[in-house]
Amino acid sequence: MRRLLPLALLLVGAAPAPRCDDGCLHGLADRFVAALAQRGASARLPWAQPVRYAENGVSMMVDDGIWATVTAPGARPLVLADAAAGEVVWMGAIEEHGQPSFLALRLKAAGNRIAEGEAVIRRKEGRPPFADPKAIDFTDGLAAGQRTPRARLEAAARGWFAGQARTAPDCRRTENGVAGGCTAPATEAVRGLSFPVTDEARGLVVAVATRDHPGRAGGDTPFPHSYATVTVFQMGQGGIARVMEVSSSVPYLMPTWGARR
Amino acid sequence: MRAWLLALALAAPAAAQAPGQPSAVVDRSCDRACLIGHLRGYLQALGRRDPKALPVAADFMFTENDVAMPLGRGLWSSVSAIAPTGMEAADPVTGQAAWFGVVRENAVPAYLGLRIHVAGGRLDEVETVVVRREGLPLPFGDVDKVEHDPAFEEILPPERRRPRERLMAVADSYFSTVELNDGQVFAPFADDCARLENGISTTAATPGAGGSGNAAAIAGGCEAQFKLGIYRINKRVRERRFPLIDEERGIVVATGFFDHANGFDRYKLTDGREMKTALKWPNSISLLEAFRIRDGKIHRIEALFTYVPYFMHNPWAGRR
Repeated sequence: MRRLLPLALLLVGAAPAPRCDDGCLHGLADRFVAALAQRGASARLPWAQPVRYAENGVSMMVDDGIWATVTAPGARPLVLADAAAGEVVWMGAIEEHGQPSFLALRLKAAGNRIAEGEAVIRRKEGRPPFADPKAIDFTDGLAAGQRTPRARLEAAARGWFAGQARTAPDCRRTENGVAGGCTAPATEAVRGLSFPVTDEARGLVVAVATRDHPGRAGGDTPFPHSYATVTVFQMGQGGIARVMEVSSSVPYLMPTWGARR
Repeated sequence: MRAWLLALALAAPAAAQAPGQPSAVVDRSCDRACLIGHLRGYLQALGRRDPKALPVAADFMFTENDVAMPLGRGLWSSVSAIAPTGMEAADPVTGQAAWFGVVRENAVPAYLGLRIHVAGGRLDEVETVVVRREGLPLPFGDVDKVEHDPAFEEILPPERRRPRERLMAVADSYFSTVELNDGQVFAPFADDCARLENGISTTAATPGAGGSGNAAAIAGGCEAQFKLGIYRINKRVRERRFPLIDEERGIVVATGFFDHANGFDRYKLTDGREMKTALKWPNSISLLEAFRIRDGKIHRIEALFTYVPYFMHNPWAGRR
């Protein structure tokens, strides 16, 4: 019996952390965003250890970056959770010293604690497109969708970035709140593509990626450039029906955060 | 035992050098003219978009705006013209050279800050800062009117020079003055100190000058601005490096990041005036900055800088 004791201890030590269900993930995202607007409130969040955190592709300490500038979280965000993946995405508006910005935040949970945060923040300054994020209902039109298996959702999103996706006749696309054609922008490369959240029932998938673009003579941007992006896709009858993207300019070919983790 | 002794013997040569030095004897075979030649050769190849024309070392690394990438990408893919002249600096002791000037990308102007390192007759390091107009508030002078101060070319009489270590300390003191700028001045400034940033004077207001965020509209002169605390938004001046020093001309070329945390959007100058920050969100600027130091005081500054994501890092940090 005494010889079995170490094994018993090992089994106890290896007990899996409790899974964070959809409600738990929504709660983590809501608490996280609420804490951004209250200096010092990060200390009350349920952190795992270690924690990884990045803004616009750059690792940094919690309490730096937007933790020092956010003055009010916005209303009507889109919050999508994937309990199987243990990840949640919050997309909506925040205010930094009263100025509205887009925030696309991805959190990864370890048990019911926050182990990873990755934010893409788009401010009004810089190259277009940009529309007032406070005027946007990020949940608009996403309540219902075409039930779609995870693999097909991811394939459709991959196809979209490659310019080969089927889109529904009534497909709508926005980038930083500005409506555009439903086809993907022409890219030189799409790097670090991952799908942290999938909602099969509503036909939703979230993609995180970095897009690279060449400079074009006579174009809006004559020099090569890249964007960190978070994109929500929804499937409808006939293909992708909705594309909602938050993109923020980063230095050309900047390594994706995932690659440096 | 014999294997252990062999390993020790193999390790001995590396351990015999001063830390970070490839050799106990400095290789000065590439003098100033040689380094400037490499610099101009790089610019000629860039102008032809022909990276294969460059003599590069096996361990070569190229960065543009703090991103390591293959030679031929970035500015190499978009450059359409290079200004025939720029500010040149060289340091035969460390094998470094630098160029500050104007380029065009698909006919659109940009500023280029370039640092190269030459070893064994080949380029092994190229670090660039490319300043583009991206819709952000940034000084950006008229590229057709940029005048690089000839002081950067002048050889100082021996009594006005200072040793390498002192020149670096003075340049570093400038960054310490910028950091948290609350009116405390660590740097020695000449009375006639002047600064050019992205092609525009930011210490002497120029009527009709382009760009935005010009501190010269608030106060003139280097020291006066810092005593006023104009640059208070700099939470940190980070990853400071001083790869190029020219004692004869009193030149230091430095790199680093200014972190604008922007935890506040209003602040007061030391004279009580209230200022508003230009941007309301955290950002960093990545810079290549040249100092001309005469009599131990900062006489001229020429800087090129661009916005990068807040707290971004430089692949060269910790190397040179």
